Amino acid sequence: MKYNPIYEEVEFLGQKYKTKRIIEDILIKEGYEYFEPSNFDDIDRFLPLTNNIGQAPIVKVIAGDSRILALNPDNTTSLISWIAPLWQDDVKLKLFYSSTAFRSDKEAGIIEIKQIGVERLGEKDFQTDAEVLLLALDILNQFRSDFIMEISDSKYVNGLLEEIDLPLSVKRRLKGIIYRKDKKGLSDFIKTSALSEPVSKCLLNIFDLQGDAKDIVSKAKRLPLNQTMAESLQELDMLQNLLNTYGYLGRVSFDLSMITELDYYNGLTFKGYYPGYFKEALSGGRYDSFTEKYGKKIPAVGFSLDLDQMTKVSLDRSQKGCEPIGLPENSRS
Amino acid sequence: MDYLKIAVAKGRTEKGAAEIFKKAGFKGYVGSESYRLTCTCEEENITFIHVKPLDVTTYVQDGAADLGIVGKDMLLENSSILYEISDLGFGKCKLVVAGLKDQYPRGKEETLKVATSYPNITKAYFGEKKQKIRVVKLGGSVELAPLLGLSDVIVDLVETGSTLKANGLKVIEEICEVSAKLVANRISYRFKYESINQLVKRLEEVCP
Repeated sequence: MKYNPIYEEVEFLGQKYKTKRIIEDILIKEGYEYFEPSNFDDIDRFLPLTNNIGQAPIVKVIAGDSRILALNPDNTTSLISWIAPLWQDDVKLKLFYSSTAFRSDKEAGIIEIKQIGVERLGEKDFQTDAEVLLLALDILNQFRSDFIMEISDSKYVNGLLEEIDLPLSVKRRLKGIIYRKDKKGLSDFIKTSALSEPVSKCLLNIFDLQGDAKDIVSKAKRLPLNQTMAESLQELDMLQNLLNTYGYLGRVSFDLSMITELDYYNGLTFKGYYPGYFKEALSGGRYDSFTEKYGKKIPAVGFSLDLDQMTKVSLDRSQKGCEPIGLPENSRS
Repeated sequence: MDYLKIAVAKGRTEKGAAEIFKKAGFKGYVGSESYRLTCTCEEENITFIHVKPLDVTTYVQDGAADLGIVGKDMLLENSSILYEISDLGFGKCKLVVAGLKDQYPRGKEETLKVATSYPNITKAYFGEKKQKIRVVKLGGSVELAPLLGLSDVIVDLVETGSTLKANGLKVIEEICEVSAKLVANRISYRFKYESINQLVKRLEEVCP
């Protein structure tokens, strides 16, 4: 068996370090402060994480006193479970972490997920959401400009589900169908569930609400809505204008049928992809209602980046002889 | 038009797929009659690759193929994170529990021995019913198991029911309906949205 020469291995590690530094420098420049999630914790802390769509299970560790601990499965959860008991209402925090999360996997054994993430706590307004989204776009754009950012507002689907009087387990099944973009499954569900006509109409159209931001908002506005859904569209409309101003409209795709694997968002949601890398490079959104499960509702919005993918992107870039990546020139704040 | 790579499950699904692509006016797709595992239709900007049914989801999930054509049974068994963007309407059959009689041979408290090529679907189905089971995993000819006392019942695909009948087996319960699905990698779907939608439209016009 022949391995890569050692200097190639070292080059990869060097690139990883550089990538991490570039992103961290951007975050520090934007006024974010460092937070360090703990590597393991009581497994009970992570119970609100279970029962999510498409999530790999938690890695368990047995401590010396036979207690079962979890190897940190999610950095955001780790942060919130630590901060919620200490929370004071007038606090505003801008935090970032650079850490590893772990998941258990049948084939791979344990998966290590190296993440850099950003959390804004204590502010609940459009401005904060927009700032976080623009920061995410700026970081992706810094490494490669042909990415796509998928954007939605989970209030749209959740608002629609408010109109349906069915048990939680059935609603979860419906979310699974929407998550898979399974048109046939959805029309079968509608046929067998005795839904009202406006709700059926909205559901049947949901997969057409993907693509060009401006089109999608005006298309969705023509369908029947309740208050929650109308709110989501109003915010998306404002976002669309803002993205236009900053020249990012061509890089985003709205998808109102978007459901995230970690189903804990209650507002803006987004996922960033690079062409040719078949995993999310970045994902995030607003998750106030998730923090409630830790005893206190804290306004919270954030995202995390997959460091391994960002490293590959910057390595491929330097191998193609592109210019090295530096810090963005103008800070927005 | 973007360039698309489609993984097609070999065997029955592939025949149905070749037919439907031909009907929709795609020139040059011949299926895997030759020994080559890939087949490119230059005019349509599509390459077809032929893989084992169980592998289609792997190819698509990892982005080695943008799209896949595979039975719903394989999607349920592999529980992969894919978009099931279209039901192609062919390859219709049912996943059933079958045995020597048309009812379960054991009480709920006893462990039921179930022979199947679908261990995950089987565990999930009986798990929901709170029935204790032991799975006997077989690669094929599952119908033999109850006849030889290897299992109490089987979980298998049934199209016409003639194989079951020929082996003296009866359907006890239907688990779900199965047909061929067009699945997409989530990220390819976003980058090649227009092209994939056009393809879906053309196929759905001629779907049975």
